[in-house]
Amino acid sequence: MVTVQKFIYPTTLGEALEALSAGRGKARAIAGGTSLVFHRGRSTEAYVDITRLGIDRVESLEGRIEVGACARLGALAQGHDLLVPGLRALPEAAACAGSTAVRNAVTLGGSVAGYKRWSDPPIALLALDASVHLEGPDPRDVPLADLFSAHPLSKLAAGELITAVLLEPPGPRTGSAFVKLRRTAVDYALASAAAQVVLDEQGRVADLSLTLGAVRPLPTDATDLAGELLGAEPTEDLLAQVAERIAQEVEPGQDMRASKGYLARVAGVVAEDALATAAARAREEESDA
Amino acid sequence: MPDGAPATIEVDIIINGKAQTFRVDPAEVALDTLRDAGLASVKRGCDEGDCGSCSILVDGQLMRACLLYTGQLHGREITTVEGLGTARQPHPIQRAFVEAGAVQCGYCTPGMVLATSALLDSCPSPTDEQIRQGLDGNLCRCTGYVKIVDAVRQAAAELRSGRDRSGGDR
Amino acid sequence: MSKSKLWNVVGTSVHKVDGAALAAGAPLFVDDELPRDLLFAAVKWSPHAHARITSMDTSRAEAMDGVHVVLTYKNVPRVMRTTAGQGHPEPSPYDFTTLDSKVRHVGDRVAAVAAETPALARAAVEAIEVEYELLEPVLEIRSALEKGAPVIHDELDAAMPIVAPYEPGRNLAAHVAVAVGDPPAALSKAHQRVTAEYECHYAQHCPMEPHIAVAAPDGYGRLIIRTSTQVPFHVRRIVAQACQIPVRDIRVIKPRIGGGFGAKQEVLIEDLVALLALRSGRPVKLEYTRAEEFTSARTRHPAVVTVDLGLSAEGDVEGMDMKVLLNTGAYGSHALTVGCNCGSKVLPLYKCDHVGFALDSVYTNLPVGGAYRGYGATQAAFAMECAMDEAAAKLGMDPVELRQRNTIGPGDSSPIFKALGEGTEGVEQAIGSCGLAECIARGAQAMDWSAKRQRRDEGRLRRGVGMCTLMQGSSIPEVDLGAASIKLNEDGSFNLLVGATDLGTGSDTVMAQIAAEVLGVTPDRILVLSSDTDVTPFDVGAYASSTTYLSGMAAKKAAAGARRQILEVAARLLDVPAGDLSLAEGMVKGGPRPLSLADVALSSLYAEHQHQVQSVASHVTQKSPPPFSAHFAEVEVDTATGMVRVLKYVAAVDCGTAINPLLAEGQVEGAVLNGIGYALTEEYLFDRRGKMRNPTFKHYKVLCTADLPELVTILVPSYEATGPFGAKSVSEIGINGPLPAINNAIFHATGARLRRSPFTPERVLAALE
Repeated sequence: MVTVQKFIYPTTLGEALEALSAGRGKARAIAGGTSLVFHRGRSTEAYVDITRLGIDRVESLEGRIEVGACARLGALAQGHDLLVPGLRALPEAAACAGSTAVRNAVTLGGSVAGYKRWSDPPIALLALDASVHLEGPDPRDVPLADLFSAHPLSKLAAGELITAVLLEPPGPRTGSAFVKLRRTAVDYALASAAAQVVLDEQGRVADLSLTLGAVRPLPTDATDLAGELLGAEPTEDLLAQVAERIAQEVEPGQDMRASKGYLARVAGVVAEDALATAAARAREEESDA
Repeated sequence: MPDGAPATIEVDIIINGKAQTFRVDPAEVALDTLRDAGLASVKRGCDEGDCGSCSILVDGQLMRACLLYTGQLHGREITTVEGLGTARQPHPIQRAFVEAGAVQCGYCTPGMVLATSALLDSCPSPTDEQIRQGLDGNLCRCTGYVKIVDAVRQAAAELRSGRDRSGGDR
Repeated sequence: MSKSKLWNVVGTSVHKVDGAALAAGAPLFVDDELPRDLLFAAVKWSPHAHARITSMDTSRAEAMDGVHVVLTYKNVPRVMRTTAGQGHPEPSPYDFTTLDSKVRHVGDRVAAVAAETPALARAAVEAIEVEYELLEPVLEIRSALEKGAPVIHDELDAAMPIVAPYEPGRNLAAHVAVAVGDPPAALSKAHQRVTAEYECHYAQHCPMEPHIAVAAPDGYGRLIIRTSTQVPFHVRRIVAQACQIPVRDIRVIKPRIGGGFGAKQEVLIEDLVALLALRSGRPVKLEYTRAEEFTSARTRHPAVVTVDLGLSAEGDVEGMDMKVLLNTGAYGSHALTVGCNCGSKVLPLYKCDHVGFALDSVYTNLPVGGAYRGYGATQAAFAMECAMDEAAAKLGMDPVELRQRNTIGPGDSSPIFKALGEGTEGVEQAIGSCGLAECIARGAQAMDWSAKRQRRDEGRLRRGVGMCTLMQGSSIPEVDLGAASIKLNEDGSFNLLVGATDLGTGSDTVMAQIAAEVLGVTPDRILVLSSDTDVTPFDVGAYASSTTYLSGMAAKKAAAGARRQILEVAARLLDVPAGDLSLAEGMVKGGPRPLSLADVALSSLYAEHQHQVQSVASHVTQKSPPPFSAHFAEVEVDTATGMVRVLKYVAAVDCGTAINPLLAEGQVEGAVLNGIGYALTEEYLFDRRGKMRNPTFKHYKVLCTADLPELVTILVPSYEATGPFGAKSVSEIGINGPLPAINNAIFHATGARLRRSPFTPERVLAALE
């Protein structure tokens, strides 16, 4: 059995990438470590601690917002740069992922690379149409949606590292929200939804995106299921119709905690709530402007 | 590695202000290292990051010793309640926990005290809502949390007045 | 005169005697001080719910370097016994042996090893090869008694150590049927009838410190067991029985323990560490993982409770019948007594001459039931208090009014007290102290009951309020024994040695306060030691809400004995009659000159009439005075998701004199929040083969600070003449309220009545439709 034999503590991105590539697939990046700690020794010989590279800041660069992959969820939950209505889903998702101590450890990049069915932040990121920046042999930006067509980790080549999450600054009249149904304050979602809604000047939905979390092994893009909102005012009745449609069409995976019928139904409810809140925030944003 | 002879790594950690070097199996978890080092306050409750009994402060941030490889602590500063105060000379937070009736079996208490310390560090005048959020990962089965929230409120007041007396460092 | 003036120390919230050390993280628990040369134990668990072991090969495990002992059913004594930490003879079936050739639930014992490291012990367990003949399991409580159901205890040597019905051949672990008056007649002629069935579920105590024990042979050939237990003396007796060694060869030490709630009223792992230490000659530690705590410790017995009520048009309860089907799981630990308590701690609450009670405790191939705070009252109060709510609705009465009309009061008795005890007949008693009426009135006021009861929401979020009334007991009358000894030291301090077991409740502090009150000193002069079977007097242990009421009385008597001796010495020294003297503020008062307790001690130890001032006392009680309580819950139901949120919860409790009000409140608050979690989120999820699927806090949801509703505790004073300074119990009663109070509140909010707990969003949504 291969077991972990060393820890490496690079202080620059270059050193980190070198250590990862020198590991020939058996070196693994570790940040918060909360998911890796349970997979001791599995085909990993070296851990490359990437928390000392200075990639934990939120910055506005060249017309986009760059969130360092090692930004901790706890910091993002209070991240003032992200508290605009159009991006609000992200701090909201970060704030309800695990408990305080877990949020102090888990990084945004880690929540993507170490995605599990119940991870909250990726759901928000998908609804916000985020990309990630990959460093390695072939540095590039990849839309998160592409990364999530299977488990993100399977999309990363050996020696590749997520160094940042990239967000488009929201335009006017844009609101977003993340809503999570959970049994207790610190719990995995039974169902979650993130939505971003753009309204036109008449208060009609000009654009939207909707992602469902937890109900299936991978995040579910439900934007099309909310399509009837486009061009319309997001009234209660219309939102209820969207909820109904989602409940009809989403096909939840097995979950020991609840029946598929229940999960489908509440997926509709959280989607409705997320859309309603996002739309309300979009209106707010307009009145603020 | 020949014949599975276990590798060890050297990890330098400053624990409660004192620099220490540990030689550990790279797969060792901080909870084991710290308990082996005699830090009895770091309790084993679930080994899965869910109960908070093994809470420690890492560079001032509340974390779980069971969710960290010891290797991740290299170069970091750790605080445990042993570093805050003793039974005879308690830290104001520890004193508040005793006075408010927030200690029952006491197994969760060191973690609760550290969670309180981290909370009050970043938020010296928390609302009840902030207190409940700040301690949300530390389970207690004895108290029903009412007296724990009282203790945090009391500790916050005392720490604030202490700062006022000393001219304030904030 | 206010209570605080009546006594100096009693009724005061002095700081917990061990509080500062615990808050400092001092090494006070079993795992904090380990002997040298320690071996680590691991247990191989059954992956099957019901199977016979057809072959077991331990050779690979035994050959591993560093593995010292491998125990299987082939090499340990077969002694049929119970794991229930109860008095001798235990009222639980002897259906358990250390290791058996049959496994009866997923997580049952198969083998145990001791090895040099925890990892090696786990590896050795893996290396044991076992073949099973799979047997059909019983996984449904209602099918356990069906004709032709698989027999779980088909061994010939399972037996009941007391005279009580026991039929393992049809999976019946206990059976009781009693009736007073003529319940069928009273029920059939009643104006209003309510028949209701309620089912409650598995739960685990979840002490933050899992079970842990270390056994170490000492140089004299005795075995020293340090263990996290509520029952050190029962541990000593039952380990002796299991290992077939004399009681005198065992010493049990209970250091600080990280919560119990009944989980540690079970001799669960001490037999294994004892045998492993005896075989290896080395100290051995066994510590449960959190997953093992769920699958291989003890649980709350699930129950199906049917209540039949007959009421007059005015709302007088005229007949009551309760039928309990209790699931004891694979072993009958507490199967009889938890079942009896369903009746004896619930039915006497209402004045009624015609009362029936029947219990069937059944074996299933599911986790084993045990003692859990509330102990049957939790299960039965759910059914009874919801049925009363249904009755109120049918009668068009306010539930508060229905309780006020029917609940028992001072001077009243109930025929149930005599009819139903702990597996045998009970003990007749009249209610002495009872503050229930005041609990109801003050609780209703704190909840703003009348106003909130008028509310009717129509939207998605609907609020409602519900209530219930409760009683429990204080120790087991004519069964439980508490004892204490106290001695005076040279500086005027005292060592108070009690067998009563502080499991985190603060009972050491309460004992110190009681002794300090008698001896006229501050509690910090009382050095409490609990418990060490070599050192402290006997006590049955911390269970049955007995410590303050029963052991507290022993401490009070012992202190009174010491006080007498001190006054005798002082009388000689001062040359005045002892009757003129008293103790206060650490001094002997009433004499011609001041005399301190240190003076008394120094004189008696070094000067005249040399002797040790020391006293020992025992206490047994003829009564089990119930504490009473009224609970009020306000909930908000999200009718779109079925999610229930508790907004506010009020618990008003009459525990007699609260020796330490802050600690008493802490007992109520801890019990209530545990009860709310039980009602809403804590649940065992099983697969189709009887395996628990969620043995982790990730999916077995215990409430945290962020879930805490506004929780109001009201201590309603009363004076129980048979208790120390008027005290009775407080620790258990609080956990019984949330199931019915919350269910009744959901009904008020939505009109939907749930008949099965927990009230998960999915169940609530289903009930709404």
